Amino acid sequence: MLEHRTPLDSIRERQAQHGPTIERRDFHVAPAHEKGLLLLQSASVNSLQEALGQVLDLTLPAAQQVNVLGNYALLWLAPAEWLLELPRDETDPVESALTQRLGPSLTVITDFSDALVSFEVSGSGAPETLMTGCSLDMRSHAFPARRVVRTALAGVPAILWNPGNPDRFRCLLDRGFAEHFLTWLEGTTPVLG
Amino acid sequence: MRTNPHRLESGGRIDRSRPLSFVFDGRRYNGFAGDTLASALLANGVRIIGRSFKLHRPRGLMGAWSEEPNAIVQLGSGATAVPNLKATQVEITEGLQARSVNCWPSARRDAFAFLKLFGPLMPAGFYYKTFMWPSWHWFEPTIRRAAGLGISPRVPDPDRYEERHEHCDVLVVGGGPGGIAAALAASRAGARVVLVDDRPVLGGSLQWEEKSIDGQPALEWVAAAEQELRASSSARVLKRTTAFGCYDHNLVALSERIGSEPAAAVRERLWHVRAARVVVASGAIERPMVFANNDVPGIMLASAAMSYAAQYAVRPGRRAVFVVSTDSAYEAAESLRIRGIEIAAIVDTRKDPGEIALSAQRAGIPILAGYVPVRARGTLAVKSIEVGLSPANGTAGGSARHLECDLVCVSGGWTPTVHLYSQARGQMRYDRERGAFIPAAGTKGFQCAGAAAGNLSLHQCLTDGFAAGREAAKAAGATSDAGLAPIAKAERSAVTAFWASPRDGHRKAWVDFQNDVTRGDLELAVRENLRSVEHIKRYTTTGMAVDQGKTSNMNALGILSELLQTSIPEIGTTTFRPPYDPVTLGTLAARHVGGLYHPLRHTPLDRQHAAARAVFEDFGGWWRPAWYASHGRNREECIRVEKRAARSAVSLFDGSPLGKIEVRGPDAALFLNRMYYNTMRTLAAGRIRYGIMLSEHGVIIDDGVCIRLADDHFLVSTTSGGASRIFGAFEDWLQCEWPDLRVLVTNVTSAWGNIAVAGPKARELLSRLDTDIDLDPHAFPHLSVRRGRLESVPVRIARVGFTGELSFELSLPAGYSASLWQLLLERGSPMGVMPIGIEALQELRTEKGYLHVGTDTDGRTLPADIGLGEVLARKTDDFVGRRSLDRADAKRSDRLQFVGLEAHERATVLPVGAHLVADPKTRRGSHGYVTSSCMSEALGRSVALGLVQGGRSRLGESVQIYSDGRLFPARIVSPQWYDPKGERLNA
Repeated sequence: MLEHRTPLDSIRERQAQHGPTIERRDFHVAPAHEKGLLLLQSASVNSLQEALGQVLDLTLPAAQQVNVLGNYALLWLAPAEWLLELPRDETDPVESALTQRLGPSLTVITDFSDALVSFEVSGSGAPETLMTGCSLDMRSHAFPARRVVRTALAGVPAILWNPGNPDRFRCLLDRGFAEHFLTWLEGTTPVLG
Repeated sequence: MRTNPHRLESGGRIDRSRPLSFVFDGRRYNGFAGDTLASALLANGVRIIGRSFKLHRPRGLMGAWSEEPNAIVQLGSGATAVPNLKATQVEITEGLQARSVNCWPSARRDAFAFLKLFGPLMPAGFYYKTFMWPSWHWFEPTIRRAAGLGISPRVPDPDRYEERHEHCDVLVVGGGPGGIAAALAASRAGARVVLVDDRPVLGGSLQWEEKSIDGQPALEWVAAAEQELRASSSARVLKRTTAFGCYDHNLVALSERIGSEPAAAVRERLWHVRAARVVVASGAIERPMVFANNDVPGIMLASAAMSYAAQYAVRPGRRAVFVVSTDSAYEAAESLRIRGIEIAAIVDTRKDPGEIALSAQRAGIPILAGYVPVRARGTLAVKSIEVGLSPANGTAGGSARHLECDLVCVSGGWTPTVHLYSQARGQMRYDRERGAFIPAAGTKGFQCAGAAAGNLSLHQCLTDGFAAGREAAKAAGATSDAGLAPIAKAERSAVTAFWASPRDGHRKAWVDFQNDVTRGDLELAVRENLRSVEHIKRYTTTGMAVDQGKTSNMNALGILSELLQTSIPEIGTTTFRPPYDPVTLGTLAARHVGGLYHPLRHTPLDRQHAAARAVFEDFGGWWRPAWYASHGRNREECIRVEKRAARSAVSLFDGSPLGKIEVRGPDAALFLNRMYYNTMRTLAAGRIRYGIMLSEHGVIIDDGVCIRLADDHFLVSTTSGGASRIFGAFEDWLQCEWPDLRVLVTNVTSAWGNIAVAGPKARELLSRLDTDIDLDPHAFPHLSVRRGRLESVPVRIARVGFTGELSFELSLPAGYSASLWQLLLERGSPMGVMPIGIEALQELRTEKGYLHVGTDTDGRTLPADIGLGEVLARKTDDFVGRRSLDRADAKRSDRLQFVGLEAHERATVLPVGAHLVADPKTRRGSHGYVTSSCMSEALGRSVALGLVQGGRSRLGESVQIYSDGRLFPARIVSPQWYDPKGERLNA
């Protein structure tokens, strides 16, 4: 049986051995709890909406919004494109159940669990720190709870969303950029005053 | 250590309790905290701070801040050296090392000062005319070395730079009275405000002018305003921060100087500020006057002299003559007088300056009204100035008066600082009364206020700035009441523009001090029939480069108006370019240096490669093993061992970075048939076909295999660096051109790990793993794909490869690939399995004759050039790039074609990039070039690939290949060297 590993495993092991990567009172970054990810693309939004309702009781979020229900979060990514975050062990069953209900409609479900890694960035200094590498205004008046964007962070493509707390963000990045992201955060110097 | 002989006993905003020592041109001086390098040098009696750009004339201080054109210095040395700073903007710190530029060994004693003797030979544009024969390029290296100001460091900058994005409702540029009033109004109205100022302290001219605002000393008002803004959660005050560029949609770039001390964590920060509204309250710059010898050290702007005396407690001279055409200069004269500087006279170009002159006269200052400057005397320092009656008031130069002095303060008018406004494409109009271009009307989201809008009195600045801040906040959606504007005493601030005195024989009169442009240069340009101000600017260089015409533009326009007999508005202005003030390259680069310059993706097998001592390199944006140091003593040996394993046993290659794009939907086959040059709609499910993709110009942009997993499901494999580009192209064509196609595409490159198992023992190795896929060659032939499970994990295995050997590409969820890699190494150990890097793979494919797009093709290569012309004849459907292949140029027989090349000497590896010379005797002309090359152990000789003119019709022809002074005899051949029948591939 093959072992499953992500870049976050290495980071966790390193942090367990050497302590947190970044020592700041107002800012914390840690690998997020690993979840399954399903990319949903559909040319038939009604069918997808119906299937999601039947399988997970979820509705499709509006543009730049996240709908959260229990362990599930549905992120709007683009017109006709969403990302479903769910418990990892439910990825296959949910994909099968959705596929079954979608029937012949032009909808594609892709397991993205291994494509992206997720970091949790939090603390009162989190918006300021993220704004050193992201051109968006990450402060609560401009980036409220349950907002999601696809943008560039630290020079690489990223999905940023706010799960509900103004000073807490989830950053989803290509797994190949996990170490780059941490290196970049380590070197960030916050604006003082 | 020298004392401060020119420091006033008291006053100034310097901290006398904190003396600091610094070095300029190798000599140690002292100053105080709060001094600029310019004020400290002046306090020490140093008047020559630089040499002029072209003629190496001695130059002293003209200004006191960013308008300074002369005092360019270089700070530090080695890696931390900073060239081209203005001494007027450098805050001194303990141990600061500075030196003048464009001179040797020092500004005072410059060995190149003799160049001024050649002044008549070096008019504007002289190098365009003089250095034409035999060729400009013959002279260019010497001239380039002689030109320029500072010297850039040759080693990496160790300092740290940061960047930050900011969003606000109102950005106020300028922390003078107008800017502070604007920021207060906007903040009180409820807007999110950012106030930036390039000085270390807010207040602008209030730092040296003695004024009152709202009944209190102006600086107390400034302190209270700053406190109020800092206390607000929605306002940010940035000092030592220059707004240097304005870009689309109100994006303003700022450069913040944080720390020049060695211990500073961050030296500078680049801010990208996106503002709903921008208020430009950047003040105005006093203009010098154009008269003979007006560049002699000791001639400076009246406002600068007042700033040195009042702000820095420095005596800029002992006996001053003011030559003015503004009311504001009288205030400067009074400021100097009360600080003990003798005012020899105020020479006012206006015939009737009014009450302000009478007031000065009552204070004992002689007034010469209606006089103009004729010439200054002195070489290293001004000794006197000759003035005469203005032509408007009598004969030019008539009633000449010689005024002994060591300081000449000039004030020819005020030019609003509208650089940012102009960069934002704001329109301007000429105001005859003020003798300046002022903003005509706010451009979208941008407005000028205070002196930048032409309001020169303090009272006007405050009311105008406050109104601008209030309006900007309102436009940005803020609704609170901003209250009342601050008020100051109303005062007269009349100006009569004065550009230049009448010509004084052949004596030079400077217009642009920084670029060494004289009135004579402008006259020459006009004589040579240049009429457009943009052309004259480029011909003479006035208003260009670092200075951006801060002190010169208006004087140049005034003189041109006279020369061209055209009004100033008709001549118009030139376009201001960012940066307003020089910005370090470190700031522009910010954190995008070293490993953060170009983020590289790591493969899922990163740790395994590192454990095997891989030597990593950037390949297509991925951090990939070039070769493994554990395989031998040096690079060549390691690569040779890796290749041997692939040819004789079995190799593992990390193919995870290969692009993987899933294409699904009922029209997927039709879509890919249009995207590929090759026919894809006939591809059967479970089969694989090699294909190339073209741009609309017919040029090959990518290649790879196309795998049909099901009737409506394809997997497109792209080059590693091409995945995002091809995915974008797919989306582009689907969304913009063919929205009717029922297709969805997904870039799954990172979701899947990919391991290529290649070599004669590849099947044997896979058979040692637990899989439900039949690996028998009859059941699983070359160019087919199977899906199943491998060690209980879902897997796709494709029989494709890039080495020419029996190959299996294993694709599985990326998280499992490290574990599978380890298992393959363990199970394959008895049969000599070995990981191979990119270098070995490239050499394996070269000896097989496989081309690599981007290496063996260039930006002109068409399918027929690589031998795929017959596909076009067979394919009847349309595809991207098809029409371009019908061009006559695409059918030329002498196009560069993909061929093999063999050196006559079997052991000679032809250099990549070397050209096939058309004429070996002269070594001129090219018939093509080498694209890939290696020594092949399997073939027992060196082989190379190349692009050669009409190459395929020249097989067998001997050619000469030239590189680095050597000729290599070689032969054009077919590249199918290794296993030409494909028996190993199909095993």
